[in-house]
Parts: sequence; structure tokens; C-alpha cells
Amino acid sequence: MDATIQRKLEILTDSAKYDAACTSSGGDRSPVAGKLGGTCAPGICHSFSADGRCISLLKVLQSNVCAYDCQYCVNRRSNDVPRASFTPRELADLTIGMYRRNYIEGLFLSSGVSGTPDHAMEQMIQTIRILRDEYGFRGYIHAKAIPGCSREAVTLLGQLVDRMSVNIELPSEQGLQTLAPAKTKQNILAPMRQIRDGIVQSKEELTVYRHAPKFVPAGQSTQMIVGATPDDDRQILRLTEALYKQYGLKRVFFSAYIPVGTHALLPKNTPPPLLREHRLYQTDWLLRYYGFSVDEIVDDEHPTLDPFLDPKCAWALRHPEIFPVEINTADKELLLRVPGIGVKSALHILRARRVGRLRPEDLKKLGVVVKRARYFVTCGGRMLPDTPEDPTVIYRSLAELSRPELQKAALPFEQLTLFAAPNLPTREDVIQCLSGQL
Amino acid sequence: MLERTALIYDGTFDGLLSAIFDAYERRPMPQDIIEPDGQPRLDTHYETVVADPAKTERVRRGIRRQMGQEAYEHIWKAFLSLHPDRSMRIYEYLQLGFRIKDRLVRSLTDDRVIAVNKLSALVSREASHLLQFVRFAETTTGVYYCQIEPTYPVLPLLMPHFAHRLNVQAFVIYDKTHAEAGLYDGRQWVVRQVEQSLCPQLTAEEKQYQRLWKTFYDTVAITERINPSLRRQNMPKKYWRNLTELQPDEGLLLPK
Repeated sequence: MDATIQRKLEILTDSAKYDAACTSSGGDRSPVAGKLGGTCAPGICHSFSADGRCISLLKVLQSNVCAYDCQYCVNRRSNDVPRASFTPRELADLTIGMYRRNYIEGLFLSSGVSGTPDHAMEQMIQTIRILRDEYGFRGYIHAKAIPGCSREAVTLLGQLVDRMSVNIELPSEQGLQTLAPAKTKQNILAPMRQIRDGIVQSKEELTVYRHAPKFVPAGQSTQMIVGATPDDDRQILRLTEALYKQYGLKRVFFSAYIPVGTHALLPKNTPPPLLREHRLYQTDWLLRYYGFSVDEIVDDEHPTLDPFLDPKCAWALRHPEIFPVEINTADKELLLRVPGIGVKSALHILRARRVGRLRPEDLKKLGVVVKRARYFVTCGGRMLPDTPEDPTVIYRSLAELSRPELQKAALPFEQLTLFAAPNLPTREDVIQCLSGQL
Repeated sequence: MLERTALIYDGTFDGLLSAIFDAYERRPMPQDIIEPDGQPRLDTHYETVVADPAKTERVRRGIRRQMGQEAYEHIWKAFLSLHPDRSMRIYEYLQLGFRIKDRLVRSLTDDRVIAVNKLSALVSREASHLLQFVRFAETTTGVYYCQIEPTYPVLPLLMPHFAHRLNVQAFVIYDKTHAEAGLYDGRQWVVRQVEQSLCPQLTAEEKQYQRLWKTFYDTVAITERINPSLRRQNMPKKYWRNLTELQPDEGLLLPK
């Protein structure tokens, strides 16, 4: 342990930090006598960096030496940044030391393409072997599969880790062709399919005999960069839905593009589209936990998400025929569609309803956000007292005008509300606002 | 003649359960159950009861059987909140529970249930924060050491988690606020009162790990996304004092 490790850690953290995924969820490994570590299903965040993002895993690259020249990536061959590589031993020791101190839940390991994709994978596998076999480490490990690596490498890695991911990065093939010439749709999707099939197979084997080796037990995830290419929300979300449905992914992460590239086609000097990223995550939640499909939220008429509104509120305002919903009788699926009712408060409602009829004043006690839900529910057949019905008023009270990104955008919107119908910001406003031009 | 009666118990959780047994033996039932240092009222007749392990167990079993494990955990955590009304709230909660049985935990709109759930949620929140923010340091005896300053005495909720997880590694968590220490020797854990603060000797390697962790922490943030309020929201300031990564460079938690 010396200054070199310190420096390597700095370089290889700096190179890894743009990856959004840092969750330690999905695994549930109970302790085994004599062995260090375990995982817990909901995951644990151990710290929060100055940008407010969660730190759950030691997120580093094995090496940031890279043969590829992907334009959106800070580690591209042509970029002049300091380069370093951890030896497997160094990184394994570092992980154990940090784990023992409860700094982290485990390791999130990726790598630049140092030499060939298979060579990069081999180094990662060696690190994880030391952790699992030599130290008996049972904490969480998330590893990246390097696009272009062999099937054998994916199989080996998959048996050692909890979660695996292959980053799609650019949501369209044109984007890949222009900005990441060494990657193809094919060499990204092939390992994703292999991981999917491996997971399915391992689950089948586990039902037959208990000690079958587990393959990527916490599932597969991926990441897309938002705002590096002109792809709209609808394209991104349709791809996301396809990944959940056809590839069985556990999570799709979105990462607002930070201008680290110089390519003529990449945006420069623009603030990262954080609000757009936030709306995409809200929609992602609706897909995974609320029973929504993408086509309900974005369509040809509304290809971008409304920056002013939570996507669930936007959906609800477009569907007055469904509301109001009666709290005392609606089923779970319908309750989940009400703005201001989340998964937890829906469960509370169902639970409390079995004991007695709910009154309007009970909603708050059950965790319902009344200031949003009030426009969409009845309680015992009646709306809550003093609930406005004018859609313009409702839109204005639901709009998140206080968000800093929208401070300047609020003015044209305010003027328009004097004359026009509720869904006011024009498509252009929305795009300008999202790209930070307003 | 005094209109109200109340029981005074020893201030322990087991004592409270035992006092509840006593309350059900009195006719009419006492209006209140209070701790020794509770605020006495002029219109109340007080009777001190002595904890009896057999009564405690009967009440504990009764709660679990009739209202379920979830209700039991709620009252246990509510008790850890140290709230001045905790005994009274738990007493009222259990009276309702013995009447409506397993419907208790579903009665989420009943004020007596809400009152206990609120206290229990405060304690759960503190415990889950500390599962995140406990930071161990390696001492020269090989035992890992950590100091926390929680609002509520949550060591009994933390110890099983860390004992499971660290498994082969002995550790001590010192709760400075409540002068308690959770001790784990690699096999079993206990929580003990401690007289004075523990100042263990840390290893030389410890300093390097703290530096490494701080380097990682400082580097992993994305400058373009700096968001102080989001960080504070996720990691309340009251924990910062004991977080390695938020100490100034020279102020790392090192042996004096």
C-alpha cells in the first residue's frame, strides 16, 4: 500500500465515474460460517458524493488503457488522460480493506479494452477469483462484460458475480456507427443475450438440484447515455421496454451526457440534461412498478416527456375518462395509476380498507400525497372538499415550477395559460428547455 | 378520592410488558403506565410494580400470537425511541390489539396505531441510516472499531446485521450518545453500558485506508452534477461528524 495505489485509485475512479449504475440490489446471500460478507436484497448505499449520487460499490476500472476510440467516452484512445491499471491482487486487497470498514457493499468492476476485449476480461476475472476463492468474499460484485469478448469469458465471469451489465450507451445504431465505430449493435447484444440465456438456464437447473452453480443471480443491467445523440425520449423508452421484456433486464440506467468529447456531432458546453434524465427515471419506475407501458406515456403526438410534469401526472391529465378513482373500491392496478399514490401508499390503502371504510382525512395518514391525488380521487363517492376542477388550474398546481432548470422556462408558460388549453408548453419549448437553451 | 390510577414500572422493555400483565389484573384498569422518572399528576394514584420474567414472557407470547410479529417489532422499536409518551402509547396500542387481534396492524388510520408506527419509523430510519454510515477502523488488537452518535439507542438493531456480515471479523460499535457499546467477538454479540469513551489504538495501515477512501470519495463525484441539497437529503448532516470521507484531510480519525 503506497502512493502508487493512491494515484491508481484516483485515475481509475475518475475513469469509471460516468457510469450511472451503482446499486447493490437483487442479491440475497446469507452468511456462511468463516466467510466474510453477504448481500442484502434491497441494497445499501454507503455514502453520497458531492453530486448527491449514491456510493454503494467501489466503482473503478481494472484499467483505463483502451484500444477503442468511442467519441462519447472519456477513456477513448485519442484522449490525452493519465493511464493506469490495477493488478488483480492490488484491486482485490483494496476491495477487502474497504469492505471490512463498511465503506462499500462490494465491487463494481469495469475496464477499458486493454489489448483485446478478452485480455481485459481475463484481468477482471482474476481479480474476482482472488476475492471469491482466496478471500471467500461473499459481498456484492457487479462486473461489466466488454463488448466483443468471447462467450467463454462471459460464462466464467457470470459464475463469479452477482450482477453483470453490458452498456448500450447510445440508444440507436446510427449513433454507434458515427460515435463508436469499434462497437456494433451485434457485439453489444450478443453478450446480453448470452447472459439472459445463462440466467434462465441457471434458474431451471436450480429448481432441479439445489447446488447448481448460480449465474448472475442479481440479474443484468445496462446504461444509455442521454443527450449525446438526437434520439428522443420515445426512442429511448421503447428500447428500454424492449430490454425489460425481451432481454429480462433488471435495470436500465440513464446517464445525462457530460461533454467529455470533442467530436463534431457531440454537444459542447451544454449543461448535462439532468431534468430529462430525471423524467426518464420516473418513467422507468412507472414501467417497472406501476404497470404502465411506454406507449401510454409517449406516442407520436407526445414523443418527449413534459419537463414540467411528473410523467404519471401528465398521463393522468390526458386521461380524464379514467378519473376520479374511488379510494374505497378501486383495485391495486387502478390505485397505482393515481398521481400522489405510490406503491407503499397503495398497499396501505388496501390494508386499511379491510378494516373499515376510508374517509378523506385518512388519505394523508396512509401516506398519500393529497396535494397531487386530490384531483383524481373520490372518497365515499365525493371529491375532497374545495378541489378545483378547471384543468388549467390543475395543471398549474401539478407543474413543478420550482425546479431550478425550469425557473426561466416558467415565464412563457405563465403567459400562455391566460389563453390556452392545459398542455401548454409547445414541443419546441420542451426541447429547448431540456437542452438547456431557455 | 383520586380518579385515575397508574402503574410505575422499572423503565425497561421487559418491565413494560410485565406491567401490562399487571394492568390487566387490576379492575378497573389503570389509565396510564409510566416510567420511574415520568411526570406525576396530582389527580392520580400511583402504584409501583415489579417486573416478573414469567409475566413478561406471557405478554410477549400473547402479542406475537394475537397481533403478529410485526406488531411486536413495532412496539419494541417504539420503545427504543425514548419518547416521553412511549409507555402510554404502547399501552394504548396493545389494549386495542388485545381487542381487535390481527386487525391491529391493518388499522392504519387509527390514531393509536399511527402513534406507535410513527415512533417505530423514527427508530427504523435511524437504524437503516447507520447500516449505511457506520465506518470501522482497524485497531492494533485486530478488532475493528466505530463510534456513532445516534439519537436513538439502535445498537440492538445494528449488531445482528454487522455480526452476520463481518462474520469472521470481531468489532465494537460505540454509541457515544447513550454510553453503550455493541461487542462482537466473531461468534456472539452483546450490548453493554460503558463508563467512559473508548480510545483504541489504530494501525498504521488504517491511515492509508482512510486516505484511499477519501480519494475515492472526492474523485467519484461528477463536477458538472454537484448537488449539495441532494447530498444532504440522502446523507443527513448529523452523520457527517463520524464519516471518514467527510473529515478534513488532517483530521482523519486517527490515534491521538
